[in-house]
Amino acid sequence: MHKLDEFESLFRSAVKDVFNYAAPDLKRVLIVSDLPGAETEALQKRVEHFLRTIDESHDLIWQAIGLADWVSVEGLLQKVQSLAPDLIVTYRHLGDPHTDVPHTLGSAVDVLTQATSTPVLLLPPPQREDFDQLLTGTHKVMVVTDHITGDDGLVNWGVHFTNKQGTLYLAHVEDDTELERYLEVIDKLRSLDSNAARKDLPEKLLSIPREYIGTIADVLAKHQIEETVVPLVVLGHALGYYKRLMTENDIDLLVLNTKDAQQQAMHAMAHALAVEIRHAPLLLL
Amino acid sequence: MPWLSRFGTRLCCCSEPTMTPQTITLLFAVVLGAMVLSLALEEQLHAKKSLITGVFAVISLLLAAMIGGILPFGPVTLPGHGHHQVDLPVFIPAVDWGVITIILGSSMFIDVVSRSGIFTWTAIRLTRMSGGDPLKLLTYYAGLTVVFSALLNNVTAMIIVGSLTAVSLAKLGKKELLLGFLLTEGLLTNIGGLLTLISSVPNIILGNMAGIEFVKFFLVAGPYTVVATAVTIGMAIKLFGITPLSTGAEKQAAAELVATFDENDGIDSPLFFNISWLLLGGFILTIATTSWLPGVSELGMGFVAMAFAVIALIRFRHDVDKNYAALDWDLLFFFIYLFVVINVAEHAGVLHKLGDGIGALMALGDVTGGAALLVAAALASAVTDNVPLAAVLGKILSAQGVPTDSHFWWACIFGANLGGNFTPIGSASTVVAVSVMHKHGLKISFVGFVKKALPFAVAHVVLATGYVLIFLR
Repeated sequence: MHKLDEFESLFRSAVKDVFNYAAPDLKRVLIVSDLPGAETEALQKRVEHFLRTIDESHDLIWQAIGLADWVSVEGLLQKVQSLAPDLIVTYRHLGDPHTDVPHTLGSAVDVLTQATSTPVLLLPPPQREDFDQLLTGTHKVMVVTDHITGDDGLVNWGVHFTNKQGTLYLAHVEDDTELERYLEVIDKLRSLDSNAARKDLPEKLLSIPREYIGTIADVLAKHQIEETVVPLVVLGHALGYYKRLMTENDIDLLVLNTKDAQQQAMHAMAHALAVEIRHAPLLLL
Repeated sequence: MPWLSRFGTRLCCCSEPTMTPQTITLLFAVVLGAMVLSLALEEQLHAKKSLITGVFAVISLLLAAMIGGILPFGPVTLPGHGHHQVDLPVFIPAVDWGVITIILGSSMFIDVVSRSGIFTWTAIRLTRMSGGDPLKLLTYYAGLTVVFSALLNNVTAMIIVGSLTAVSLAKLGKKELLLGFLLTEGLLTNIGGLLTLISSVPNIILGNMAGIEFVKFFLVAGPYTVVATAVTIGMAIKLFGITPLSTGAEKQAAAELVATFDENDGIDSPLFFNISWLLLGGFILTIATTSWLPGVSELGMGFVAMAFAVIALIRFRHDVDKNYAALDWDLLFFFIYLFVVINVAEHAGVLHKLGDGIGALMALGDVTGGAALLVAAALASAVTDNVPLAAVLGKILSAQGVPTDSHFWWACIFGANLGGNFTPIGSASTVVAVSVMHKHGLKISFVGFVKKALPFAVAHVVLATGYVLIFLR
């Protein structure tokens, strides 16, 4: 039934994933800090300015937790859960005495990102001298993933966090090392055509996300959203590529999924990105 | 195929069935019967058709050669001036190469042309036009199955429409309708297979032996095909509970889902896509007018099919070997070996004996005999391959001098095609339909298939019997 498979593949390929636009369910924003009251308020003002695009469209309800409101990570978690926000805004090394330690986000942030299902907007530490410059606005937002096709939720968050007439970069990186590993296995299978696999597999892996991204601009135009959508679909090493794109395009905000369907804990690539890209705000979904 | 007819006649003349001892006839009747039985048990034997017939071709030839006096060994006299003689192995002129070249050429042509995406484009276009409504989808796919079966072959038609059905119903969240759709399409491949002279192998064999022209065949089979298709769709709607979408919201949701199909996805070259439409049109037109075209009429439909295959292959001139590899060699060798077995059986007097039985049926009279022949052919075709059946019936009717315009030929053609609808092994396309069902987790047993297909198959045979007796007698 080789022909049957051939035609089924053909028809499956003809079914295209189309982007569906929907505003994320976002109303209550919670600022979580370890700063005294006045500084927490200042931070809130800064974040409100940073997220003014969303505030205009969603009419957000802002809340804040400062130094006086929590003493332990467990207590913080309980407080957050009782307030049930739609978005948590915090910064690296929350509650840690040292803010310049690489390779970690800090224990409080680790818990917030992994023990709740609420999206977290992770900012650089407010102690940074360039903190204000890093939060001027979300004119250039980059969504990164290794599987963008059909992930309307991820793209919709990116769309909503991008300023009007801003630029939304949609980066999809297929891991070339992983692909090569599969191709080497195919090379050893008599039942599969190695040459066809080496030619067609990378081509299809890239064309599917490109086609999906191609539908996004059309859908946004129908909803009178004037953002520029830039597709960045490549085969390569994800972490290095994302870091390079961040620098080259002067990205204001990085949007990424952090949780697998099977687990709450942040997956490896999300964690690597979060600890490596330290200067930019990250929206962790 | 005058050349082949002459061969057939010449070989027949060399063997005198009356001279063959009864035991030898009986021996080869057992060989032929064993082959037919083995073909019916193809799935259980886990052996391809070509191998089964190949084994029996080897046995038949060896037995005939060892017994002696059965096969006409010696040089073959070619037609024309000088009566030039050539040395050919005895099994070469045993094969009906006219039929083989039609099958080979049209398979190759259709395979190459289908790579342009014209068939999948049409299928997806219709899916979108249906708006995702199950009733429209069934009607469109039914029509598509009939047309594809007529133009391509019933197996390819079933593969294309069946695979699209599985994908589109899954997309629409209507997988519960898959069984009914696939069964209806499987049955309709054999209705569509009746439409033209080249739509099915029994048509090619019987049509050629009877000397029925392409246009005549189409004009006779067309009305029946239309009526039988409409009846099948109506029965499927009733028996499988296929209802149209009722609310506006349902219609909009379904339309959005089928709108995600891109009919242009499989088109690699728009130029070849357009050329393929022209080639397909040219192929049908030339096949239809073969008997009227000077020169071409002498070369026959096999030449037309091969010529169009060669023209289409120019598109893939750098890797034609891939197209050759994609051919259904199992099918081709099945036919080649089958012709050898039947030829030996013919020389051993087996067909003469079988002809007595067929003659007895025909002797029942125009009405009863015609109906009996149609029903007998259908029942025989239900449990075994209709190709050997058609070949044997064709040889017998030819030997008995049944005229071209006799309704007995049509009784055999309708019976051999429609019998495939009684069982899941009755035709190659119903086997494909069941394969698609199994692939998508739908368990259907032999008896389960027969129970569901029986009302349709009976309706088809009753309609055909009435049609043949009323309009073709």
